[in-house]
This record gives sequence, C-alpha cells and structure tokens, in this order.
Amino acid sequence: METQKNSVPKIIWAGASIGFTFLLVPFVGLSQRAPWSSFVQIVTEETVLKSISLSMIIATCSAFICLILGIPLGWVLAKADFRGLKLVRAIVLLPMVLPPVAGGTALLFALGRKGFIGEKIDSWFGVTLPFTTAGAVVAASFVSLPFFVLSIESSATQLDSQLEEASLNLGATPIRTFFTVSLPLLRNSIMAGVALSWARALGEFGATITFAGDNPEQTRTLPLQLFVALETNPERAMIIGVLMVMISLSVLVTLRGNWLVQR
Amino acid sequence: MSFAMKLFIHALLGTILLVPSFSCSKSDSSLRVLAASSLTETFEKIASEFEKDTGIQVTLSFAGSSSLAAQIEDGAPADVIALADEETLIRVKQSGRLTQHEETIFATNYLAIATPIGNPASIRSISDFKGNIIAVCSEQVPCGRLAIELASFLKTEIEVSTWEPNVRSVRTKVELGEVDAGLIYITDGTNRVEITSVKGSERVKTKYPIVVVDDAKPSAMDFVDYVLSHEGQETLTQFRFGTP
Repeated sequence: METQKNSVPKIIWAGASIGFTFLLVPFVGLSQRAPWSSFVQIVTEETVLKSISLSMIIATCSAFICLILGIPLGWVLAKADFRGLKLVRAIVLLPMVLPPVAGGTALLFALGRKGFIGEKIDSWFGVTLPFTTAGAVVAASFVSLPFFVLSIESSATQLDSQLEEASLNLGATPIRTFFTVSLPLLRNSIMAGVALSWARALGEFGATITFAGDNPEQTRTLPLQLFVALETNPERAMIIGVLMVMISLSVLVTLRGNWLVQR
Repeated sequence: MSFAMKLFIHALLGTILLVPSFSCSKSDSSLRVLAASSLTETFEKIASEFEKDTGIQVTLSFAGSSSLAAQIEDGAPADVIALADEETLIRVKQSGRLTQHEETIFATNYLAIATPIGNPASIRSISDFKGNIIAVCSEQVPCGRLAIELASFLKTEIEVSTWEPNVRSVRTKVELGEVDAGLIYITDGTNRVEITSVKGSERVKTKYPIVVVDDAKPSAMDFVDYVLSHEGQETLTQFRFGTP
C-alpha cells in the first residue's frame, strides 16, 4: 500500500489539489461569513430546535427503511443474474442523478392523495402521506436508498464466497448462511450505508418540499428551514448551513472513508 | 463501482455539453426583467408586445418575490424588477442597488379561494377551511403575508397544512387535488381550478411596485413606461389585475 501511495505522479497531485480546493472553498466562504457570535442563540431558537428534531426523526426513520429494503436489494444486484438486471440497477440508482424535485413530483403522482396508489391508501385507510412527517420520511427514503444499495452491492460483489460455501457444505440452509455468514461479513458496508443514507436523508430538500410540503410542525426539516431563512434572514440561513455542515461532516468523518477504501 | 464510474462520466459529459448552451443565450443587448411569479403570463405578453414595438429584446425571469429579493442582494444581473408587494421592495432597497430611481405602483391584486374542480370538500368560505388540507403561500412571499393579513381582517385563523414557496405551487397543489383548497391571487385562476371569491378580500390588496435597477440599460426606463402605458395597463386588466 505504501509504495502505491508514493507513486502518485505530480500532475495527478496537482489535479487532486484543484479538485479538493473546489470542494472546500464554498465551506470556507460559509464559515467566514457566518455570524458565529449568534450561533448558540439561533440554534436554540424554538423553531430551529423543532427543525433539528424533525430532521433527526426523519433521517433516522429513513435510514431504517433503507436498511430493511437496501440489504436485499443490494444483495440481489450483487449476486443474482437475470435478464433486465442492468435495467433494474439503473432504476435503483435513478434517484441519485434525478433532480429531487422530479422525484418529489413522481412521488406525488404515485403516493399523493390523487396518486394511483395514494388514492387507494386514502380510501382504504383514510391516510394521506403529503404534508405529514411520514410523507417526508418517504421522500427522504426515496432519494437515499440508492446510496445504501450501492454500498451493499459494491462490497457484496467482492465478498469471499469460500466462507459461504463452507457453511453450505456443512449443512446450513441458504437462509441461515445468509444471516450467520454473509451478513456479518457485510457489517462494515452496512454501517457505511446507514451513515451515508442517513446523511443524505438529513440534507434532503427538493423531494421533501414537493411531496411533503412545508409544514412547521410536520415537515419543516433543517434544509427547509434554511430555504425559508435564506429569503428572510440570511444570517440565520448561514448558521443553519454551518450546523448542517457540522452534522454531515461528523457523520462522514466517523465513516473514515471506509465504504470506498475497503475494496 | 464501474457503473458509478460510467454514471459519473456521463454526468460530466452532460455538464460539458450543456455549458455552451447557457453561455450563448441572448445576452448583452437584451433587457433583464425579474418579476414576481404571479406576473408570469401577463409579463410574457407585455414583453412580447414591447419587443414588437421597440425591437428591444427582453429576458424574463420569474420567481417568488422573496427569491427575487435574495437574487438582487446576491448581485444577480437585472435591469428592471417588479415585485408583488412593497414590503419586499423595502428589503431590496437595503441592497443599495435601487438608489437612482423611484418605484411606481403599476398593479394591485387580492386573494381568492382555489379548489380542485368539483370542489370535493365543499369549501365556500375561509371558515370552511377547518379540518381540511389547506395550502397557503409561505410567510416570506407577498401572497403569504396577504393571506395572514386577510385572515386578521376577517378575524379568523387559518390552519395551514403546507406553506408553499410561491403562489404557483399553491395552485399546482390545488390542481392536483392534493389539497382541498388554497389561497391564490384572483389573477391566478385557470380553468383547471375553481375560484371562489372571499367576501371583503378585495379590500385587502397588495400593490405591485416596479423599479429600474441602478446601472441598468437605458431601455429599462422604456420598459417601465410601457408597463405603465395604456397598452400595458390594458394587458394587466385583461389578466384581472387591478389598476393603481
């Protein structure tokens, strides 16, 4: 590993530095302009505290949904072979590249009160998703699930199958092998996937405001609060921005880049 | 990861191919007008008539008045700005970019109830809002402030399910049937929503100011004059705006 690291040509270093600076500069701008002296005061305002707790609840529920749906999905994409696999994978990854607003609109047409599924949910259970916290969870899960699936898939493809084969040869059922051998081997990427999808859900804006609207009690998460503040009180917007950077950065640092390096 | 890589390359290529199309849109000679969302169709018509009359090209950009205010503060290029209320104008003035010209009120507007076709929740007045799903503009945009003003004028309170970023997204939510009713400008009615007027709402009006930005092109003044002219005012009336 060491020799590989040292062999990076200078020109690549230069390119990397420019790339890194490009990503870093906006955050420097933000932290330099932010009115730090009012940080504590703004962050402890009742409306901001409400947004923080809504964001935490929504991101956590969404990460949980990603966990439940993402493990089987990632596993199938990595291990199964069937016609149309490429298309399935493309659809799974679509929310990553789609503008979240488009995702939110699509959700509205499917799960909104007049959506083709949402209409049934409404008439059978009297439940409507838009403008509720549950709707915000749906929007956040929609955009963050691909991040989880990618994390699982990339490590499942590289999994050493010898251990699984040994387990099967010793008489364990495939389902038991999956839960006692494969899943523990995926532990790191599951953790990484949870953290990544949680962080993505925390920052979700476009699909949320389109599908779940902006309701201070139900759906006004930190990004929505930031959007409102940007047009009324820019100082407040900067502080909320700084707060989001701090939360997201600490999640990603905790990951220590595991999800990419472990191949 | 190879798929992600491919995806990345595609995204990169997409970006590179898109850049030139942004940079060579009609640029220097044309007049940049920023206008409130509620003015969309009206200003499109006024601008095309103005172009026909004078040969001066107009580039229109529509957004919620508060977004426009933020854009001006951030130094967005603009020659003329038309907002949906005077309160937003006060904020824009703090940016120091509106020091040379006085604003003129060119139109007025008021709110009405919009319901989906068929009015499934049978909403005939604001007092019917209770217990239903209601969309109103966010407080930072003029139509939101006007809604709050109207509620206090009618001595009632509105329970809001969603505060939408601008009046057009309120109308869309109504059109799609996702909300039972919303408050929109009387000028925003279409044949895809039902409009019910609110008694007394025409007495709670918002006034639309138009002003030339400092260092604007000389033709900016011509555009403002055109909006205030007989033809301009006639178009505004056609779209149900009130005259000042």
